Amino acid sequence: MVGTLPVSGSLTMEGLAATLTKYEQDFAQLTALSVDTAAGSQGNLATFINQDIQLGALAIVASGASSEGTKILSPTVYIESKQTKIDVYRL
Amino acid sequence: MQQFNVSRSAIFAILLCVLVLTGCMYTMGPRMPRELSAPAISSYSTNQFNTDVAAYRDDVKSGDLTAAKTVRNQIAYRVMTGIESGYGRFEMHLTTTRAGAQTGSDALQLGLTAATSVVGTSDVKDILSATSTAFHGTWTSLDKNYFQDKTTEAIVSQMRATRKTKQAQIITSLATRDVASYPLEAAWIDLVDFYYAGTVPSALVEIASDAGTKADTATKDLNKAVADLTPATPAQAKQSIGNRTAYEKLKSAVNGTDPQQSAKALQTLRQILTAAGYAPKADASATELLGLFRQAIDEATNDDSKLATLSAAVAAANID
Repeated sequence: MVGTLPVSGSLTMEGLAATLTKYEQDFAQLTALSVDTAAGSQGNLATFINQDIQLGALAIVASGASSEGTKILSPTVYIESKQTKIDVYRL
Repeated sequence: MQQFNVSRSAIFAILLCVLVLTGCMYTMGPRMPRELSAPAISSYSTNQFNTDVAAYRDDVKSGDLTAAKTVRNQIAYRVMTGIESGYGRFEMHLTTTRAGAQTGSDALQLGLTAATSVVGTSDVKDILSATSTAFHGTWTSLDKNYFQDKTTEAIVSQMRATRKTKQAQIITSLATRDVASYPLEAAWIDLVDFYYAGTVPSALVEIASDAGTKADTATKDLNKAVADLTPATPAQAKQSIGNRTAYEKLKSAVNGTDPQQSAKALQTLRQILTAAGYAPKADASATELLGLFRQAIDEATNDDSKLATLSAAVAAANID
């Protein structure tokens, strides 16, 4: 499950975090998250690399909001079909 | 005697053509100024290199990371200059040598064909004809095996493109990253990549993989509508973490030094896999069982019902 894969842009922050967490447990690590710039797309793209070490769950909050864990990404993505700046934390 | 003279004239004509035409390799570019071709800047002796590396390590050891970065960059740029200088000569050599060899080959072929048509004796005619065919076949085979039928322009163009990409990455990393995140060893790895990017085998692989990438992109575009990551709920994410955690624990126990723990872990692995609908072989090794568990995790990632089944099997195994 490595490479750049499309992710729905209609998910909530919690749903996106759960989706990415689930995919990371398949021996992968999220390295990038962005909007899909393809014409007409309102989705996101997530990039994964191989990772044999098990990683902790991900949490997503609005940019600047506090969260536990370590901030790993601060991308702008589609959340509930609206472009939103978020922070991704590793718990 | 007359036939011998004709053959000799033909051979002389062939050699003349080869010499004149392959001589073109020296007209492929202007003479390089002595200051550029002189090795004053690009030469980097082993002693100098070792001294610089020692200075870099001393700076890192003493915590002077700014000085270490300066030395790292100096080493990297000097090595890069050497690679650049060598590549320029190699590219020119590749272009002229291959073109010269091709021209010589064409001239020889034409000469053999011409000689075949002017000699009267049928035996000699047959020998020349056979030689011409064999020569053509050998040249075609040589071109196919060494250059995979790619033109020099395609190979050079690919080498240049890959080198520019690698070089840009190295220059950016040297400018923006400190020695903690981009130590000399990391720069070295990139420099080795940069060197190999300027070789024919690397270019041939890149050309082939580029075609593969285009095919992959086309396939990805085709499947995009159905290839989105399956959205997951927090509960499903938790199940995935549970399955993966079980895998890690069992792997650790299987590979551990306690034979009892190892045997128990193998038994638990079998129990989970069987309950999840997989049928491990009776004589499956630990590696095979772990591989099957890994496969189960992979399949569960895209299939909610398999995720639920595997999660239930893991929960039933009650791994502590």
